[in-house]
Amino acid sequence: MTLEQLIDSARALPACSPGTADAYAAARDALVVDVDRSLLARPDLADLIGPDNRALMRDNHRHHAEFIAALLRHYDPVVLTESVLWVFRSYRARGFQSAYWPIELAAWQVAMQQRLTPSAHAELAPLYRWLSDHCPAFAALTEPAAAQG
Amino acid sequence: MATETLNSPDQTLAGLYPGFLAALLAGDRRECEALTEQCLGARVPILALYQQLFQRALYQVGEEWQYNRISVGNERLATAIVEGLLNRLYPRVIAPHRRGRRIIVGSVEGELHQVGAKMVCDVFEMHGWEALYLGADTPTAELLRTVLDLHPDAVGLSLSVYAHLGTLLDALARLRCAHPDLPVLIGGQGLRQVGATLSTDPKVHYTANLDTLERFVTSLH
Repeated sequence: MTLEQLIDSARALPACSPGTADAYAAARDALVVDVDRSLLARPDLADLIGPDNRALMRDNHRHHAEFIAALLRHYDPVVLTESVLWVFRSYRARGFQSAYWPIELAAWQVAMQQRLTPSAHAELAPLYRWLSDHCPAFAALTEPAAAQG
Repeated sequence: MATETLNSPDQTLAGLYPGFLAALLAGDRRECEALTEQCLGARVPILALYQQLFQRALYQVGEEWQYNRISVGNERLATAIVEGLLNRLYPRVIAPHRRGRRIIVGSVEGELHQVGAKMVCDVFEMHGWEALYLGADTPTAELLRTVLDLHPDAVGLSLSVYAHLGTLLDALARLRCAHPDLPVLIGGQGLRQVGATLSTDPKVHYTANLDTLERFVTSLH
């Protein structure tokens, strides 16, 4: 899948209501705590993120929540796609494995289910499903060989 | 020598860029200063110097950091060197003719990048404005208080990281509520994709780069 195809598919994502954007922003800190806890409890964490990368992972979760909160207020498919690519490149270069993101994104979805109303969660589900579904494409586009090209 | 004088500013900058980038990545402040002086000696306009040497090199430094080819320390040192160069150039930036107009510029709350905002201030200074920079991570409440105290003719807000967009939108709303007619300039890497469509307020102006900024400043005269 090319970058352009990723952007086109992100363009098709449904818009999120202002109420859900506000609800996500209000729950942001609690969501980060939940996702941190979920990942830190995993016995295979070091295999997923590399050694000594726990603080970096927590930064990633905090930045993820800030970014999604901003995106929900002013959605742009190019910003979404290019930002995810940036995250994959930066964190993979520091030892994170591609297998980390599907697990992390599943943790966000569980946290949102618990912290947000069913309607807000339903509105956000397509975005998180899109992120999960396209993890292989993001990983392929950020392979070191692709980066050199 | 003859060849050197025939070089256009663009050619001069393109020729010096690899050496400047290498010096910046090596943390070699003196070499960066020497190359900057060489540009000035070749009559390269300061705006071109900012964009084609400083900005280009710092974007590449960011790229190197992204791929973990340099450390956070390298990246911060490179930023500090460029900030030092901007400070050295400042006396050359100030226009002798002052227009009696003032802009207050700040990087939005939470935003730690400030080189671009400093360059924005310099462009206003080149055009005879008094440009006051409040620094990185400017709390919105303090920005509003300063605007109230100093009565600027315009405010500039810089956003380098898209994740801080909500803070920018809140700052714009609060500024507009307190000062309905005050022109507000927005810019920065974080707005690259969305800056042009972010606000429908006719007093909020997005500038994509220093060239469009200069045209905007000129239009205010």
